[in-house]
Amino acid sequence: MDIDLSQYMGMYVDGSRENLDLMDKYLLALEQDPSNVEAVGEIFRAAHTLKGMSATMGFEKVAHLTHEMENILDKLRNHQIQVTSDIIDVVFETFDILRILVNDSIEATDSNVDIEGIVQKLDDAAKGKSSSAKIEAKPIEKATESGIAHSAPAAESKADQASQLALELADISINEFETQVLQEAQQQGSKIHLMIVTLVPDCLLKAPRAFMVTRSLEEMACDIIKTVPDTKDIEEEKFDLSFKMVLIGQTRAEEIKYSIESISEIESVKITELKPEDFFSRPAEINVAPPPPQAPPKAAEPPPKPAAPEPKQAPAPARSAPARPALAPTPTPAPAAKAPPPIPPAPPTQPPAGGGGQPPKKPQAHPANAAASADKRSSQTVRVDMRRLDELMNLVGELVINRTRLQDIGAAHKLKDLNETLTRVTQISGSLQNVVMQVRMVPIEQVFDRFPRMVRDLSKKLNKKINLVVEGKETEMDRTVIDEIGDPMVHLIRNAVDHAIESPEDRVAKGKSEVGTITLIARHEGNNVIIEVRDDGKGVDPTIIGRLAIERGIFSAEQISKMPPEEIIKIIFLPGFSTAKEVSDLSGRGVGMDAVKAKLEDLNGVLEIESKVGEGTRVFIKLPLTLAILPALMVKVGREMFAIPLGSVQETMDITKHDINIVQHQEVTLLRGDVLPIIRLRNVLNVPTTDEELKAIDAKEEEISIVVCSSGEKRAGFMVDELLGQQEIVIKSLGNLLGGIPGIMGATMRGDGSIALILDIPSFFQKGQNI
Amino acid sequence: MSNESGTINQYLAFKLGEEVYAVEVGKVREILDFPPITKVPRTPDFMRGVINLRGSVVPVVDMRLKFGMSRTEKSVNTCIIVVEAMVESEITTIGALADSVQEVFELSDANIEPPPKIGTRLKVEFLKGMGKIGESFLMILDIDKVFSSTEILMVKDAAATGQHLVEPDNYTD
Repeated sequence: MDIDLSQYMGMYVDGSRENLDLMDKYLLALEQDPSNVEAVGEIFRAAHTLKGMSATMGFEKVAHLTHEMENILDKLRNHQIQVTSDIIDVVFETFDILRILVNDSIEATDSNVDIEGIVQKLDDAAKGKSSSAKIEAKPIEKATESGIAHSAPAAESKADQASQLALELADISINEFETQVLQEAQQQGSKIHLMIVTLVPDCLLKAPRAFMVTRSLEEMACDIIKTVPDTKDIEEEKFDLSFKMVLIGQTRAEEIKYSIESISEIESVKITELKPEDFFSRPAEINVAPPPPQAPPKAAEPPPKPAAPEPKQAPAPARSAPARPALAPTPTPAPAAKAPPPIPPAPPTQPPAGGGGQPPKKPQAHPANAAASADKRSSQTVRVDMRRLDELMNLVGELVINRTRLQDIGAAHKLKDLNETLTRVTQISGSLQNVVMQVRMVPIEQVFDRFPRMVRDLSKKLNKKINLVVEGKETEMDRTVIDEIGDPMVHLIRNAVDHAIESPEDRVAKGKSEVGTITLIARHEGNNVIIEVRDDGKGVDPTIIGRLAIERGIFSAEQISKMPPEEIIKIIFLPGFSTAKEVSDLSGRGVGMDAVKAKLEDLNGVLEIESKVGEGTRVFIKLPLTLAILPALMVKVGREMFAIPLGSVQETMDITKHDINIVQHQEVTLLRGDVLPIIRLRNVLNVPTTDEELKAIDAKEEEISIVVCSSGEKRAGFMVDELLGQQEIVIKSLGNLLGGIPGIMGATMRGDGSIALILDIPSFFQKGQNI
Repeated sequence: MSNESGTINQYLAFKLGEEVYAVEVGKVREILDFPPITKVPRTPDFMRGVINLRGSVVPVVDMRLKFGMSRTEKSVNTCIIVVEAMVESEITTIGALADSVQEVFELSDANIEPPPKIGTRLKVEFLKGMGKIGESFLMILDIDKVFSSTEILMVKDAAATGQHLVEPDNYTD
């Protein structure tokens, strides 16, 4: 069983990050409600899992620190010490170092963090509060406890012990050769042990654990005679949580137990010394033993077993019973054959009578576990590299293109059968495309989850009291958008914490609550997602902004005096306004707001701000659901096809030549009484035009198609040759060689494999943009 | 691979008009026939447009126009050499339109001479050197330089100096 651990690296990366995130989340929960024992439990579990994973991968530092962290968590959990903000701080600190360490392990770097220092702090924190002596809550001991608990029933009486052993041996079939080996071993004075190893329920790396068990056994010179399930299945992780091994060696049971338990993620180890006869004489003994004490444990045992994650055990008695007489030729074949019948009837009849104390206890514990693991299973997820999804998307696109070609062939040759099949293929490829798009959607939670911690740290640093309220974090967006909005969001929230929310004294003086509130809301609105950052701070003061704008020479005093206040607030979005540091101190906002706006505009997003002095500020971000796909109006100009994103399109209309007037060298028309400038796409896009085409266009009197587009307050009509209808298009970047051409935001593949360019309507309206 | 006569590299030879050029085989991804090309507005003439290469958009540069010859006309031999060039320190896939593709040959570094300072129609920095095969010479291109960022700036400049559009917002009252 040689296992290359590097193949588990990816799993470790994902798993460790997940557990760190979990710890982060529950730490914050704990801080808010120190009595939240559940949170401590969750943090403990996450830390424990991380410890186990790290130890397996050989990341000793992480394992060491998580172990120390566990100690303190365990005390919190057992109410040996109370949750205080000091402890929380230390745990947070530990947690940060842990992140660094995990990162180091993953990247194979070394940040030289002071582990011993933080360990000391943890120790102090644990001791400082717990006057009650040192209670070493080492997991080894815990495991021992549970091991004892597990084997406790066995100790009740000899009869119980015997029957349980029989049950445990039930699915171990020993062949003739193995019998011989066992007997020889005994003659040579070796001990035979049956070992049952149970892994913790959320163990991620089962096979490596098993591998570590076997390696420890090798070190102790224990031979493994038999495993259940067999070695191959263990290697392939084809077992639930426990496996059995029959061992031969000189090592004492306690030593083996101790050494195996020191492997992490092992919940319990149970070792029983055996005699070779045990393997075949058990059934006989069961039959011989007096029925009353015999039956209850029998009845008590089976129920928990199926619930416990070891389904193989349930069918085992029935399965291996017929096998045993054949395998054990010498001892008592007749009773063995008789043995099965008395046992199966026992469970239904006996439990109420003799089961007494035991059965109610155990089944209670296990179903809970089972439910928990079922929960986990139902929300199982797979992490997929974004590139694979893109690839998948491309392949689906290819499929659609080729389907269109097949349709052409079918139409051309009038192949009815082909066309019918293609209808079906069309449906399937359509669903496929939908599914791929859905797969790319992730909840915005991923972005929002880092803010509670950030707000906490910032407010502590600034001595402010801030409550962060998060709403709608389940709102889903395309992965590409999610990845991009993190930084602008951090900016906005930092601004709110840094500048908008006043100090507690100021707030009280103003008659506000001491604690400031920042609300983060995400919601869907049509094809967009709206994210709102709202605070109840001091707000943006237009007079200060106006004054600064004049000082900075962005606007003249005269211009400012004409602007409405809401326009003046928007000055903070202008580049050049908010770069200087002192601005932020005065205005309360404005650190890199232009950067935020620029970033969001890159994402086809819109940034808006509303503010009332003294009451607070609301910043709205409107983003498309996805950057990858958008509905568009397909138009034809000359022989070229263009896509106009529907978000920019207001309406389409047909006009006649007489509707067009010329005002100041600009063609205009009237739209419901308003003047609408007309832009000939053919001209602005330099579409190659022959003289004949030119004549045809000039001659066209009627049904001149106009697409009315808007950007902000501005409107214009774009003249096209033909309207082709609406279509969902997949946006492709033009790459760094052609990116950034004004007027073009990307390209899309059409059904026939050709490319249509996507027009960037807002850029046509930008002032001073020569296009 | 290295001996006294230097490292041996493989090159792909192609023709622009009567002139033979070569690029390192390592830079070449594939060779395509002449697919339909979509013209991108407001780009210089040598930027012929974009093609769909199995789902990705790949710009196509007319090498003849780029090197000051006349526009490439479609013929049976016309093809697109898809190369991977470093543009602004990113690997960028670009299609180079050529009159015909010749062959792949091996050439030792010792047989590459520095480019002449004068007498070629292209900028000297586009050339890695002059490869000598027998008695004839061919021009080995430094493909990264050909598509380097200053060259892209030309694309952007051309975009900026494109046709003037009246500002529509003057009329939106």
